[in-house]
Amino acid sequence: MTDEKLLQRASRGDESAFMLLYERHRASVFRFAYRLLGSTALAEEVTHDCFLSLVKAPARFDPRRAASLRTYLFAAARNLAFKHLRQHSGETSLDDALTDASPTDFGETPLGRLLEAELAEAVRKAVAALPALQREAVVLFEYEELPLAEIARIVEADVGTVKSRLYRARASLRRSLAPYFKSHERVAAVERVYK
Amino acid sequence: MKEKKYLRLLPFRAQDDSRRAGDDGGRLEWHDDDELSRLLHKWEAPDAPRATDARLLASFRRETAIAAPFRRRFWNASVSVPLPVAALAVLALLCITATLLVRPFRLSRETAGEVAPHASETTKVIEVPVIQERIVYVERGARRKQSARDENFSERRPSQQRVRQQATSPQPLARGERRSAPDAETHGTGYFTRVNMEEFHPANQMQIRVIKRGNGDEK
Repeated sequence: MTDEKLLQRASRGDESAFMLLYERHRASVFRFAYRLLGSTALAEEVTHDCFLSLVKAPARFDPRRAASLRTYLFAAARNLAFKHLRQHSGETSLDDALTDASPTDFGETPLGRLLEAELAEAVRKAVAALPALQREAVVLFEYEELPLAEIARIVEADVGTVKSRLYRARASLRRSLAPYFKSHERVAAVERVYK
Repeated sequence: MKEKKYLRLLPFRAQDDSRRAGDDGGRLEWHDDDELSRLLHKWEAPDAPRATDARLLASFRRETAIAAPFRRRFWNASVSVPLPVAALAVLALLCITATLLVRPFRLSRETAGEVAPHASETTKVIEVPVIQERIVYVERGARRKQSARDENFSERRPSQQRVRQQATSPQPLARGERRSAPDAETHGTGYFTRVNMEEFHPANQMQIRVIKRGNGDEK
């Protein structure tokens, strides 16, 4: 069953249709919100409000404007996340910084695990340090792997603008994560040899 | 010419333009940044906590309950009513129901009791004698040529003797039956037998006779 039909049924009070819709998109919406906000609690809040707004006003979802329900949900999550960012600008959760930084892919050795955790934390900080518009472009393109046209619809900008933001975001990330690139390691190793 | 020179000088520009044209379906292919992409994926987002599901489901139920029409809410019994009001409403409903159930039964009994005798009996008119009391006043002039006993009697009695005739028998007499007079009356020793009723006429039976003597006018 398509998302549109499920939404119709959910708006009429069909609980199972709503839950099916939620199961389809909850993970991606939560991940997106989490990477934008850097907090599990805030991401939860955004996900909750996002799906609830879908039930409150299902007519807002216009298939002609948003290509799919996923696009609409990402756009709604983005707006809610930006609202949170405006309200709580500069606030970071210490718990999140400590707990969410732990990667799932641990290394074989304790040292490897430690390095993985350090790298994940560095990436998180580098992404969090990006401006919001560049951050959302990176998250949608790199993590959610959406095509540029869909990203442009979500962020309500043209494709060129999205590319521009992506380019600048990548440049910024390269600079901040330079010590973790293998090429950089090789260069550094050569430098060490030659020294 | 200028464009060719530009492209020759900056070959990567041409490659970038092809990506802009959408050859890749809107997805960039920056092979140079594979390393960056791998590095970025070292940061993994946690899974959405399941606590959100229950909260969202509760919110969904609340929203749909508000948005649903009254008819659906009525059938789902989701209209919240304070307990005292609900109790009073239930009590009133029970009273009304009981009244409606009992009333037709009582009415049917009453109508059955009233209608049945009317249907079986026929109307019969019976004449019932009514006891009437009549007072008769008789004026009698004192006779000059009465005997002494009569004079004495007339002295004891006033000149205007009142005779009261009172019907005392409540029971009607059958046809042809005569009321028997008391013994004193029949023997002539009773009160009424002492009165000479020879020339007695009731007031309504009195005949007035005009006696005219001679031809002369009395006036």
